Amino acid sequence: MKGNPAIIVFWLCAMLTLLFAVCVIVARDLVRAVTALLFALLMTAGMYFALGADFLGAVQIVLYVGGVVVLVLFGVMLTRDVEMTVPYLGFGQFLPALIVAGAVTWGLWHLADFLPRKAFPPVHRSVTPILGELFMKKYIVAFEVASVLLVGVLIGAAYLVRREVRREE
Amino acid sequence: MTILSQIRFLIPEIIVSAGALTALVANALLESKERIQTPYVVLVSFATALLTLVILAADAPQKLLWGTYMFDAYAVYFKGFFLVLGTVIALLAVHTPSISSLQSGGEFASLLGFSIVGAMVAASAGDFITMVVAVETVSMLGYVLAGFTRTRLSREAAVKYVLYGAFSTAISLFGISMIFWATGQLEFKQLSAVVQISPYKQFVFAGLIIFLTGLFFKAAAVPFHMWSPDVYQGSPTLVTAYFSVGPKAAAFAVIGRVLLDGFARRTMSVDWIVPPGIDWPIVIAVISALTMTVGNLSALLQKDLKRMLAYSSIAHAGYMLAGFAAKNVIGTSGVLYYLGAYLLMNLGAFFVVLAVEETGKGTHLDSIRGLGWTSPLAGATMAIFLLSLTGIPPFAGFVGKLVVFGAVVKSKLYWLAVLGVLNSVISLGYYGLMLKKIYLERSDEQVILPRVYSPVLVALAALTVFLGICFNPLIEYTAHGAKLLGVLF
Repeated sequence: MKGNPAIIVFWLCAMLTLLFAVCVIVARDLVRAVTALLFALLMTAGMYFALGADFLGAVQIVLYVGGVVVLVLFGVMLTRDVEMTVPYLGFGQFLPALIVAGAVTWGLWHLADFLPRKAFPPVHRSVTPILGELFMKKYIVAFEVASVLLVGVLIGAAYLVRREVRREE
Repeated sequence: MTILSQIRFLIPEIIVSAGALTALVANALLESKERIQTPYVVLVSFATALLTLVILAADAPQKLLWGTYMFDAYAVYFKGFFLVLGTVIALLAVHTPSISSLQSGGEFASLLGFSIVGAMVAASAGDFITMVVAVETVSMLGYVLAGFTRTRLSREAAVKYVLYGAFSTAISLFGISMIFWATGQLEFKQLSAVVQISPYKQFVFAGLIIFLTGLFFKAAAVPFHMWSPDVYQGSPTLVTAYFSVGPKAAAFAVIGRVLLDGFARRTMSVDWIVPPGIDWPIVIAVISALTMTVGNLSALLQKDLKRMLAYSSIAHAGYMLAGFAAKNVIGTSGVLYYLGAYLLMNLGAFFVVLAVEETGKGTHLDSIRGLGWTSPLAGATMAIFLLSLTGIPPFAGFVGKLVVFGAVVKSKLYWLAVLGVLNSVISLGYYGLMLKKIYLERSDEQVILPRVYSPVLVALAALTVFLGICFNPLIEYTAHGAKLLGVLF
């Protein structure tokens, strides 16, 4: 395991993810918060790559970094009446959040004692072909139902948006 | 079997999907006045699917597609359940003025159809991946249906539902990832073998609890129920009727399969054996006790019929969970039977409220004042539904409670059984209040039921009575379905 560069990359990405995640919460400007989110998600993709999950990493970049965050940024920039600065959380909101976060961290930390210790996966071949085969064979139902889900959601989105327009006329 | 020959067990789902798509196309082709009729398209597909399901059921049980898709009596029962539910809702979508006046019958029908497809697949899901995608389909389409009338309340309900739903899915996925980490298995049947000998039981147990938390959100079990009264009140009443039965039953189908197939083992002679260290029955028992008590006590305080029925449906989820906590065949078949009875009586009660709401009286408790005199049919059927919900013989609700709590006593959870009976008494408080409004108070206003409502209400009430008297065949079938869970085949 020693000398595996993937381990260094993994920990670096993990630390940076946390750092940018904190930036998202602390930033007072909405655009800055979203930009920090972009980097946090990018670093998550880095973690996936380090673990040998190349397909997941690619999806993370295409979907979250490329799609969702850019959409959010556009949404923020194109909307005029949205407050650009995020108000500071009051102590009354901050304290419970801190307590819950602390409790979850404590719980996960202690759960780690029960964790199966697994060797760091060696990265030498792509898992994408295996995934593709699984989706066409074993998980075909899940794959097809996902398309049903997407069609349904598209219909729903089109319905809700179309109605908005008609009402304004 | 080749993949193609296995796919034939998916024909009911394929028919419903095709029906949902056809409804959408029909909506685009028809004149706006004819669009009201489009839910009939999806209704026909539900009926056809039900017929094919009955034919295919002869070949059950089948383990399909490498264990990701189970076609057993348990799945067939739930699929039939969802198809009946879809049929009734589609029929009323045509005849409920507040929905049909939107002239979007096609959208409503296709959303309903896809949602039912998701629920049907969820009932069959043999592994976590298929299950998550199927349950998400039910939820996602539910979010749109909640906001279907686009009023302020309806939108608020949709947004609340989206936020809580997304949150609960994330929690569930986290739990699944923990289970997968420790066992390396996603298939329920394989999982039961691995869990028995797993050295990481505490970790698996923690994962299971986190996974269940997400599902409890979806099933609106206490303490994860906060969203449900608001969503139920804000959604269009027809959709609320669907929510109170459909997504809830899908969550129950999944909970039952995961717990009894994945985290318990059953030999042909004895009931389920829970792997040591993963003591989920006590967790389910505590959640069940909380859910029924909080649901019933909160219902007592309500002044709005939809909110009252929302809390009542929370309480019923509590009764049903008790059946899983009993971890025996009678308990599980009791849950399935109870769901069937619940479909009839709860839909019926919501439909009466809907009928009254359509006359422009709103959903306040006083809107049903004197209903027994102004509309004898609605009053009488409502009385049957309410008595059945309370659990009074000879109605279906009574048999459901009897079987579930009989099973609870059999597995020596006496405190839970006592609590269940006490809760039935508490529930009489608000069901009785509704009955009092209907029969002991007078109103001069005439209530005219929208078309088709009378036969639907009579049919639901008749079935409630029928299932309360002639319950054996259904209980035997559900027991037959339950027996295969936790058995390797």
